Amino acid sequence: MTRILLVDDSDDVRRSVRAVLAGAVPDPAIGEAADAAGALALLAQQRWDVVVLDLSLPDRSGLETLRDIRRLQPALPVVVMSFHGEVEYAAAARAAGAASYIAKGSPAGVIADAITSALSGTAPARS
Amino acid sequence: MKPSSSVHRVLFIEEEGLSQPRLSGILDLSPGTEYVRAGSLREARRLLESESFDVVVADESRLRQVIDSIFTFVGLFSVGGVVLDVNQAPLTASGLRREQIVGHRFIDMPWFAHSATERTRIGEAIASAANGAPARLETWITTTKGLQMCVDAAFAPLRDQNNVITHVIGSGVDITSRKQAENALAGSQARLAEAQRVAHVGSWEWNVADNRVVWSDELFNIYGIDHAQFVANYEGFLLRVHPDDLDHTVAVIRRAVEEVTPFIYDHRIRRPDGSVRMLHTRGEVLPGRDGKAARLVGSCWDVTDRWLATQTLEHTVSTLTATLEATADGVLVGDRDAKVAVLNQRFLALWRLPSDVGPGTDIRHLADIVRDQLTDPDGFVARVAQLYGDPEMEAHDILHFKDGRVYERYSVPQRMGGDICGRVCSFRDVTQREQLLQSLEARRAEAESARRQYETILERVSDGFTALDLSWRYTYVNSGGGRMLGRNAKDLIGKHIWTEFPEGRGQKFHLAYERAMEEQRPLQIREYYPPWNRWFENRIYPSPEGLSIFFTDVSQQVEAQEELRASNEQLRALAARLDAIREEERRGIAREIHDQIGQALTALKLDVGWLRGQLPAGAAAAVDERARSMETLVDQIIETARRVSASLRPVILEDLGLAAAIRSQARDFEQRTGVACDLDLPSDGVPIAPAVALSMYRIVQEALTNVARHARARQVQIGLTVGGDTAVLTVADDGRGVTAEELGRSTSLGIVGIRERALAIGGEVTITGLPGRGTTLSVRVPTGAARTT
Repeated sequence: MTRILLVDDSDDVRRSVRAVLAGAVPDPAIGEAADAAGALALLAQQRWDVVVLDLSLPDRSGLETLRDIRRLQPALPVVVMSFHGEVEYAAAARAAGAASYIAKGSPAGVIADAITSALSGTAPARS
Repeated sequence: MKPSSSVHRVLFIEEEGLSQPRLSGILDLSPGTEYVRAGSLREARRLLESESFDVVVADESRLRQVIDSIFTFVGLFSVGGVVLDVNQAPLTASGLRREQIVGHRFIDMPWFAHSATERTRIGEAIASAANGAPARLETWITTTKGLQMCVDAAFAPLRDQNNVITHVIGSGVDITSRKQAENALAGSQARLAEAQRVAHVGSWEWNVADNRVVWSDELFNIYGIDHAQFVANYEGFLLRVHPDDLDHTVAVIRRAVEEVTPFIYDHRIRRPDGSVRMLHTRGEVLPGRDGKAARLVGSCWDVTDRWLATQTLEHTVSTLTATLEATADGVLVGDRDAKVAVLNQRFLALWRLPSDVGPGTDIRHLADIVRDQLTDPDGFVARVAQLYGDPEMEAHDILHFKDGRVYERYSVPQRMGGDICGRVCSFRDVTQREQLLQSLEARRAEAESARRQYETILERVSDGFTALDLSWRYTYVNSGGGRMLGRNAKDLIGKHIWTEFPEGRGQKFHLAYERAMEEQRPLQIREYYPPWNRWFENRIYPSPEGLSIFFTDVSQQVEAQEELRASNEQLRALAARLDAIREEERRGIAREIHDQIGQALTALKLDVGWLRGQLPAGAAAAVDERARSMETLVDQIIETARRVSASLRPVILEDLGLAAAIRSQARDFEQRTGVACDLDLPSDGVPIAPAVALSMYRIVQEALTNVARHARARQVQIGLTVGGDTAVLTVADDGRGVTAEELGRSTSLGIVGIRERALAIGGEVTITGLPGRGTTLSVRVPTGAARTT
């Protein structure tokens, strides 16, 4: 079972990503949070194998949230997914400890690759 | 007669046929003695009277005859001075008979009765001879006829064969005539010396053979030396010649001596006191028997005064000539017949006359030659005729030429010893002076007219105008000034400003007046004047005579400006507020696009992808194709949404900070324009307030827009430094360089916008352009709240 925490304020996005993950990860157990507070609460409640984190959260900056997660659970890989296309975001996310950075709008395969790579502790085949 | 100390000359008186041996028996003839033979009594007498002999030899009767026949007095005395015999001559001369003399002492003769002194001299002379010493003297005797006679007397001893003195022989010659002639000569010589002295003429003689030089007394005077100082030979003379004239002198005299010719020359001498005299010398050369120069005689005329006068005259003439040529005036001197006497080159140049015009030319003819140069030829010619027709006339004329030249002519009679001998005209080119005078006159008239205009204007202007002298008293107040000061303008004249307006003492205007006066430079001051609760503007113009002050009540202006300023402030605040609102709106829309549309598109993209994955293998290619094109379309929309969002609101600025935002913007700029961006930015977040960061971001945006639109640059350097409370942003391109005109243009909206944005956050903007070297924008802003963005 692979425990994946999906953090995004959009229900539609979460649903779509879930669909992608269903086909990409064996036996996924997906938890969801719509904001930073929800995400941190879930992180505190149970163990996760990977976090998929949107940088644009309604209650907090995604980067700050990323730093918190990394501080709390340094071994937990975080895949950042953001609508921002600028490389500065990718660089900032990596600097904050993200395992990889996925621009929203990327094909499902890219997302799946990123998550499986994060889970296996290797760099994704595509980013 | 020679002194008879030795026998030199012997006169023989011989009759014809008297044999030589007989004579030899009489006298012991010795070599060195000259024997003169007289063949007759007549000859003997002539010889005895014309020449001197020591011994006369003849037989006694013959001798007696001779002795009696000669004019020489001869007497034979005893050694005691008694007359033993005399010849006829003294008897004839004295009118005495022989027996009246013979047997008497010679000194008792009546000849000497007049003088005891003469008797003593004669007695001593005879005694001397009696003792073996011949004596000779001149003595004056008185004849029986009472006449004075001068006798050259000689007394000699007569010895016998044993050489014992037995007698004394006396002889005498009447030399009265000679004496008188000598006296006359002496007088004449004295007169000559006097004449020489008066005429400054000295005479000299040079005996060439023995090199002996004799000078007259006056010549010594001329040379300024006495006899003792003069080495009386040729070399002694040359010693006195002025060194500069020495060669000439030697040459002249050598030639005269060689050619035995008379000579005339001038030379200078130097006196012992250093003074120099000029001598005019005439000399003659007297040849000796061999025809060569034996003696040179001549006279020297001291012509120093004439020489000095000539020198002075020459100097004066040369000075006058030089002056005449050196003067800036043209000078024309005419004689009474209107003929040119003297003119200078300047005259010819002034009148453009040929250089061969010279003395003798008719001046009226010259006037005809030059007449056409003048604006009034007839008047000019008539005036010349008038000048030369009236010798007494003195005139000053201004001559105007057709080509604009203006000459001044002074014409005065030339006088010599009170008589008019001609006319002197001087001409001077006064063109410049006349032009200057005309322009001065014009200027003066202009100045006067300007002064009247100024006064009129000063009275009409609403500005106040006052003039103060050095003692701070009003010298002029225009009516506007009077009104403003609340006084009658005329009443203020002569009044002291601070006595009239004591409340103004110490106010800023007072200080400004003093400063303007002290520094002597104009000042402009716009200040509030508390005593009257008004604003005034003063323009203060100092001069050494005092101050001129224009003053205006600018209270309304100041108020209006203050209102304008406040209004501008409000406007700016409004603009800033509007901008903030717009930014906020953009932020909202950007968020909306991002959060809503972006998310929806993200889901859509994945869903379409999922749908394609669900299509059965046998699904129509058209369906798969449609799904694929949907995916592509979604990609395009996502890209558009990103761009629109980013352009509306740089979310990156809030998320990642100013440096990252600028970096992103620069990369986008590079991709859009191809202009390379060289960045020098802090790597980390910078402590700048969000509003400041946004303004900076927008400024970079507008600056890059300007570069893209106008600069024609290849590269842009963007720098950001933060130090203390100040951040400095620079955007420098290597394009054509913005011009001053572009900077000032109100339509340069990009620049206006940059300035307004900077101003809104309390910043300063500097924009400099170098033609061909690019434009540099520099913005210095306070960082505001120390929050890292």
